[in-house]
Amino acid sequence: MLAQQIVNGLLLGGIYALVALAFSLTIGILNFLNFSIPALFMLGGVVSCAVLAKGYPIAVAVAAALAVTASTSLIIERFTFRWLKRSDSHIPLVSSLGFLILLENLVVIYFGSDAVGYPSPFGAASVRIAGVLVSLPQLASFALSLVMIAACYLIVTRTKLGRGLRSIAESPAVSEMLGVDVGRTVSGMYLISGLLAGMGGALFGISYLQVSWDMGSEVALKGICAMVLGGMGNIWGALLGALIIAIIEVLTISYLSSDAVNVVVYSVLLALILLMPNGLLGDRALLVERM
Amino acid sequence: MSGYALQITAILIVNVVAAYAAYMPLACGQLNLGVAGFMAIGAYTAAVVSSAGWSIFVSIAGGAAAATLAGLLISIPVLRARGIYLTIATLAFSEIITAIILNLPAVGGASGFVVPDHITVAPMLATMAVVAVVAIWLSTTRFGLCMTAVRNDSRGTAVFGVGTRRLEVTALTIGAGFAGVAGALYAHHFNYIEAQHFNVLLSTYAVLFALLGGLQTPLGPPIGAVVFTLLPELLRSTDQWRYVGFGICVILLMLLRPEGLLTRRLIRRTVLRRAYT
Amino acid sequence: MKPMLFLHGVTLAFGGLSVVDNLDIQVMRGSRCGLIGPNGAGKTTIFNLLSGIYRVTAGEILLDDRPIDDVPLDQRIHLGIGRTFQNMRLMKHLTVLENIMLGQHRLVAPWRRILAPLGSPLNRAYRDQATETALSLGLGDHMQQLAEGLSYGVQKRIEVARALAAKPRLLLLDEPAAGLNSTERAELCNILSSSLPPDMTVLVVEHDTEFVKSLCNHAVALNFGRKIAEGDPAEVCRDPIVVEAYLGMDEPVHPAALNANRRRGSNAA
Repeated sequence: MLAQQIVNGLLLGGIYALVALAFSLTIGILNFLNFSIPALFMLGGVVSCAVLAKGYPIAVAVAAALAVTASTSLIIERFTFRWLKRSDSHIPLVSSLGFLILLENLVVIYFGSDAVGYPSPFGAASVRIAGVLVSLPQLASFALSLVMIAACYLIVTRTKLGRGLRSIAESPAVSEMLGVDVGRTVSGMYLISGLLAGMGGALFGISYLQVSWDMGSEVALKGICAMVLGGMGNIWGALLGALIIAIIEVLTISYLSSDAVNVVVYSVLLALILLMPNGLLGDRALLVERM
Repeated sequence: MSGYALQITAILIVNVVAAYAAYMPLACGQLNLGVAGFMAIGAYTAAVVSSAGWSIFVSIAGGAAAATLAGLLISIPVLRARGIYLTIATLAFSEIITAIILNLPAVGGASGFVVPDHITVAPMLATMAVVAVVAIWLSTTRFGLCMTAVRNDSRGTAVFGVGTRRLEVTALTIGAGFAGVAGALYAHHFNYIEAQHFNVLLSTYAVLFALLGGLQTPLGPPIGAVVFTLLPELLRSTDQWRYVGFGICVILLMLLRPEGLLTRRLIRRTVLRRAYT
Repeated sequence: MKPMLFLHGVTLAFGGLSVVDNLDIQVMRGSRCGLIGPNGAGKTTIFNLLSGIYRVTAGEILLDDRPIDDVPLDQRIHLGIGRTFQNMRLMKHLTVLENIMLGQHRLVAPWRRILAPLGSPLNRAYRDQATETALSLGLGDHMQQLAEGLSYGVQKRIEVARALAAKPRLLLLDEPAAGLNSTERAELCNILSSSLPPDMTVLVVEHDTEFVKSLCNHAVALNFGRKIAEGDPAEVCRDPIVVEAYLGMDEPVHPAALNANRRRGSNAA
């Protein structure tokens, strides 16, 4: 039933939005595609799963996951060459690929390569609203995603860190001259990405009750697509794009097949880049004037 | 030569050619994550041509030609995109190609395709040498000079009348052709291909071989391919630890020596023994 | 005699800010014209307009009576406009000779570009020309060295050599002496005076008035995007309005006063 599909899609979209936002902010501010974000997403899911399996409550599990992804993100930053000039901009991207390979394989070594069931305390509780079955954990995930996205928006637009981020997005060199602590601001950016991605992974586990070492790559594709659709660097664009992509995914699964999902999403992505690269809400409109 | 050594050499040869495929656009500053897609086109075309009875020589040429044509057709629209958009577009293209192949029952779909003719290591080496010679030749010409210039400073190069777009399209197309050769070689040596093999990870490795080897000279990509194909073999541990090691190498290299292993400065200091002033 | 280069009422504005305002400049063929003025006066902007990085908001630029504003950036070189950049854009990983040969690009036939190795006999004539240009700029000792390891003064000369390699009719030198000490400046000035072909029209943006006085036979002074004086370099540099512009003032010079004095200095050679 269409309404059911759309609701499922919307709830899924919340999680994609977190990943899309992490990618989007990194591109908008640091101007590179950060392939360690899918790794952090996976870590969020896997770590919270492991903590839950030891019997701790969900809040502790999520907190532990966030702590791990945030600190991993900061470690990644420490080991990435400071590249502030625009030439050689492939360096941070390639570096992040290295981290992706490293982290995914470490997880395979320690947790195995099979998907693992996620011992969520909420199980699959659901409620019927207007004839549509709404999964409660998914609803809570969606709400939490919205909260995080709104928090990001507030941080970027209202705080000193946010001003620093926007300033670096324009010009790192000028920012330094203006007194922005570029080092700490960049670290703040990595911290935010880590938190977003990690939360996304934990919420994915709660919603879909399963985590695996390669959960990041699947979501990464959709996150990137959502980001381009909404407009690179645009916060609410990430959310809008993610919701649309999620709905496309869900509709493709029910009307075509689950194998067709990737082709459809990749085709949408390619078409977007060739025809409408600035996305729906405008490219690099992070700098709030658009909002 | 032992069977194991032959196997490794074959893999190495394919990796070297794939590294050259990634090198051509990278040398102009374009990150092409679609190498695997062009390899797939080369592999499947070669497989089909040779199944129709043609010789290996023809099928490899056919694979290269098909991939080159695909490269030309895709690079013209895609190179309108810049930077990150370009990278993502090549990634999307590659995945679409493999997805299409997966759904073509004529070439086996998900169960793969058995390739009849076998190619031994010696002719593979010869083919690789041809690719290397072409790449090295190109980089000694003004074309190579312009590639380096565009990579360093695209606008600053355009000021001298260099048609940067045309250059980038040409480089990407030639790179696609090399990828087609790599795919065809793979198909004929391992005699079995499946679409799932030509995935993003394969493109990533091709790119990494070229980058880690060094983009400043056309000898960088083969060095990168040799070092990073043989090193895991020497370490001989499980698959996962090898990749962990590879990941660490990538991170360290990008941190400490982002220009890659082989640079012009290094060549001058060691091989040419020129005093560096 | 008609000017080779004619900027006619040229204005470049970003939003409400005019970087260059209603500029009228005429440069005769073969002249060495210096553009002077304090930072932000619009000098490099004029170069950016001439080389196609910016398009005018109003007015027109005529080269040999032909408007050039519609010509895209990578075609300007074919009009004979060559330039150096203030923040040098040398290719660090190429040798001096290779950098200079890059400048020759527009002179080389397409087939030769892709088929002929640089070191082969097919490129001998070009190598010789590049070597000659390098030698005329005092770069003989450095030709096979990578550009990245060389001193700032030498790199500046490589920039000039590269621009010369394209055999431009109009050469734009953007602060060629910036960052050099006084000995290096004098040396560069001598080298330029002797190596620049006499039939080449040269525009030089420079802060150093001594440099302009030695090298140029005509000068245009700018401030706030407007022309404030023009004429013989020594006279322009002595002009009180120009001196004030350089030294800075408690109050900015009123545009009306600029207008009154512009008429005084407008005897274009």
